[in-house]
Amino acid sequence: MNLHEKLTQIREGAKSKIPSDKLAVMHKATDDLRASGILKSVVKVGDKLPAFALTNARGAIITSEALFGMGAVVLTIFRGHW
Amino acid sequence: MAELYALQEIADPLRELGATLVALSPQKPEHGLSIIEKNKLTFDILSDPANAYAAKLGIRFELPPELRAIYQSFGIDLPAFNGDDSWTLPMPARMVIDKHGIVRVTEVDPDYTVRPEPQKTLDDVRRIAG
Repeated sequence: MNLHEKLTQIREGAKSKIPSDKLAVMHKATDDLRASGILKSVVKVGDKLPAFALTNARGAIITSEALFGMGAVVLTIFRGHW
Repeated sequence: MAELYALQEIADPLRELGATLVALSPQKPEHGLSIIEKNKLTFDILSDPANAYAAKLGIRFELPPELRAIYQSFGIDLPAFNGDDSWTLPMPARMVIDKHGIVRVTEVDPDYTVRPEPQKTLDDVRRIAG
């Protein structure tokens, strides 16, 4: 199963697991966020990535500078483990 | 989570291209560690307190009160998980940055079920590296 299929399964599963009134609020919040224009303020292709120095899961500080010293970087941002 | 698990499939091919895969979330580092161990991930998960870095990327948003109540009813205690009471989250995002630190690809969507395939990202990195 590829990621798209897996995410479709999660989206369909939510319809049966989450009460429809709650699901409606969640969908509205997503739609409102999209309509807010936030996507226009996201860092753009061609921009310099803002520098970072952040703690990893084992407590080490990882800097963007150190990562770029090695090559390209794929940065993936997720909300949480829940 | 499904996305991180899927990205693990391209962790080795990315490494062979000299690229680094790194994940980021507002959660406290200990949650990152449990995700890594549970899913046997070979890449780092960085912790972004209060989504301060996500704000620099332009992807931080604040949850409306009605959504906070729903999250709480699901046991998603963001203040506890994230160690801050801002009730902010990042929009799910995937970015490919070249070795000079220039953003070459951005994949951002408010809907967490709309994410690009890992293979697409691997192809992007190949194109940029080549």
